[in-house]
Amino acid sequence: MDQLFDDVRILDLSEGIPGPFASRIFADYGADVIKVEAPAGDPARRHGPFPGDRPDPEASALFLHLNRNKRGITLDITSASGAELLRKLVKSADIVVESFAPGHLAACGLGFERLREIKPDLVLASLTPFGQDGPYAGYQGNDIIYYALGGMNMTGDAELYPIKKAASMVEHQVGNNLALAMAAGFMAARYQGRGQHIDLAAAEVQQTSVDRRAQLLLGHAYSGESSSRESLSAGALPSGIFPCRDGYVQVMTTPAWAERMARTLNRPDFMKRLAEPGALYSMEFKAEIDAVFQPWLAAHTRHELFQQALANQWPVYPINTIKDLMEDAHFRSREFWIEQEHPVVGPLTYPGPLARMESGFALRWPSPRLGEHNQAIYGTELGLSGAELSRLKAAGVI
Amino acid sequence: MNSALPLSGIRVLDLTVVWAGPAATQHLADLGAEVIRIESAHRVPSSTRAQPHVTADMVKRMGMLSRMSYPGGEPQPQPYNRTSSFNVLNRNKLSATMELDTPEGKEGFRRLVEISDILVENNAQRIGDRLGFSWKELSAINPKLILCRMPPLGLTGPYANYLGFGAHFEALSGLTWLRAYPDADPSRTSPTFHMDDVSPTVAAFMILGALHRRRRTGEGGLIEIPQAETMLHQIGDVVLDYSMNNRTLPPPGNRHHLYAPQGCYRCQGDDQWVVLSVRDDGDWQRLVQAIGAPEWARDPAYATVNGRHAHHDQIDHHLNGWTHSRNKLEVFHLLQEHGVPAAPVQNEADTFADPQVNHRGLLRPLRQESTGVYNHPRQAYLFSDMELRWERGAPTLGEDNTYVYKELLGYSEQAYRDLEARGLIGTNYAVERPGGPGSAEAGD
Repeated sequence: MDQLFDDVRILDLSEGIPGPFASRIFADYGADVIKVEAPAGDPARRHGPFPGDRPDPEASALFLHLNRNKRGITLDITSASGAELLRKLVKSADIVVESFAPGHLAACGLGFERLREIKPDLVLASLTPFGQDGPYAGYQGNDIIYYALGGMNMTGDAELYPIKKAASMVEHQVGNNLALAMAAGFMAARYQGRGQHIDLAAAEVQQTSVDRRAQLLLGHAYSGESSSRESLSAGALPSGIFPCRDGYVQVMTTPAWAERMARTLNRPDFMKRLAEPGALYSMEFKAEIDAVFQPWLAAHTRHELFQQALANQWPVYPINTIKDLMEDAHFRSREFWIEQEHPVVGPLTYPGPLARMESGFALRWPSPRLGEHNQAIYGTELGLSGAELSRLKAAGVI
Repeated sequence: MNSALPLSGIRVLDLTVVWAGPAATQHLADLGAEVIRIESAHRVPSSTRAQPHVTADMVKRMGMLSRMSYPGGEPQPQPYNRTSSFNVLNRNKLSATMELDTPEGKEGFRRLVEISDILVENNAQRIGDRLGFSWKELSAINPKLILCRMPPLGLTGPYANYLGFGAHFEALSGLTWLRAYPDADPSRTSPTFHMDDVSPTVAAFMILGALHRRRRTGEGGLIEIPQAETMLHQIGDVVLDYSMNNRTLPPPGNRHHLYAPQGCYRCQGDDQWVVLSVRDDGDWQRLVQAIGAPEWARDPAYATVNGRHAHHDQIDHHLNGWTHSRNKLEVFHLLQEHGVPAAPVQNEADTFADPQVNHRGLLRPLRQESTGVYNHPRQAYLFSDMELRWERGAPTLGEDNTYVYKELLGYSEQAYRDLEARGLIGTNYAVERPGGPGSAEAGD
């Protein structure tokens, strides 16, 4: 069977995390993604981490993660001949994705209206930190900036400072949202003949996050209140992160799960207590539960607690390190991790499919080396001669 | 206008619960699909809508999230039609009740599957199978169907039946550990529910891809969104670092392995903060200029990224000294006008007052039957040549029973009344079974 997007071509002019991640998702599901890098290379090549911490533009973990399954060319779109080459490439593209400051593409002769003359049903996806217009249109952003605008105030301990999410997860989620917008724009263009310019502001992705911010924005409209780092575990039933014999576990106990907790702790009498009015917020009841719960934690490892509790469908999960994650039996049995040889780095272990569907996903090849497909795309596909290619190279265009 | 949207004419059966599933079908509804929530009037979905007997007094005693759930703090007699978390994730959708564990419900469901394009559900694998959502059963009814299942840990493997909320799967996946405070016990961090943000976008993306392929091949299929794995892509660089270097680096907190300084700094007022991120030496020079080039900042040791990493604590100390007497918005604008990434740490009231948010219409008025008109956040993405649907607030329980049973399925008036009389269709939770089957069993 065909891959989901194997008749779709994307020109990816973007840098950073969200744009490249969005086009990589398409590439994982069959799209022909051509990564167009400035001759100096995408800054992600300099980002690392690197094997042995030795910088190498072909071995940056961030770059290798974001660009698998793509082809790569170099092009200086700010030069007249570079822009002309890009316009040629646009003729066969379905989607162009970019992350320049508002107005930059137009200044290069590559604005949406100009590109639309070349390809009337083109989708141009423009990602910026704050959007194409408005008082903050030129402002800068990255992961911690976006999180500050939509969730950081309620992450962490009220006595300590607000803390961000792990790694670059917010910027990756901007990429997921961008990929979805590109797919929706593509469907409108392909089946309804209407090209689209997508305006996505990274800040707005976080400001409307389903990790409670969207809910709480409406909640603010409803109540006038705002969130804070107030503890969520005010009740008698154990909720939070707790130490155990070999680390920590994440526990949350809704009233609907109380019976499962009582069964796991071997205290069916807790259910009678729970039926009493006000028990859910009773500090005496909390102390009674803790008198059993805390010794249970102290006596067992994370994995023992996890297995005992989940046998009763009570969610108690281990706080795993990356090493624990990589060794975990579940993900291994599902063959989630995929090993592939990289020509410079050697064997690498990648996360497999984001989602599974018959003939949907394939790890076809690793991230392209800088300019790896210049000959194939400029020479073979666009028909440029060797002399022309040499001239462009000498002029620093490719 | 709807005929101009890419999913107009597409019908979606929505059997989703809690947050991640409803948010996935929210994208489809906004893109023009007819999304029909199929709900039970007997099983209380306490994590999706609400418990049926919440009172204003209970709301006051519960935490912050509950206090913000209801208009004016008033759950009223039908709280499940009035919660912010349900109402913000279910606009433009229909609701019909159907009891899938009865012969009548199974028959109605079968007839709906025959005339639908997509079915989405996000229960733990065990629950989904029990309710009859397997590809084998559903493709026998409609081979062109696209079935999207979102079990938190996938359809196979030793933990396939394990349930929980987003925070549990972040713990299992190493993410909670990665975002712990570097200078405090891991129990001091609070839960986040990032998975609920991730899975809906990927589910909707995959559904669009499957529809595109179906247009070419005529074939539907099963999409599996194993939510924890979907989320793990967002630390692909950390996974590759482990693969390359076989190491587990300590949690960095608000710091970054390249950018320095980066952090969260206290501003004037109670719990007011600003974040900033210095990406390179140029950013540092602009920051120094923005804060008036004080003597400490001109220390040549700070001119290079290695120097700033080595002296991060001292730089943080000085920056806090500068920010603590200033307003977070003043610091934000000053630094951004100098080209340095910065942002105020905002709560919801701050977002409602934000000039950029208001300029771009991020919050828009929408009417919902049980609550009235309030500002709701729109989808983040904007298109030049189409306007997403923005018509009707979230449906009350069973609000569209008549349309679904009579118009879509062709039930006679008498057959409809018969189902109603036997309690097999409703607009209220007829029997309370909190903790019973189907209640809070969500994968997410």
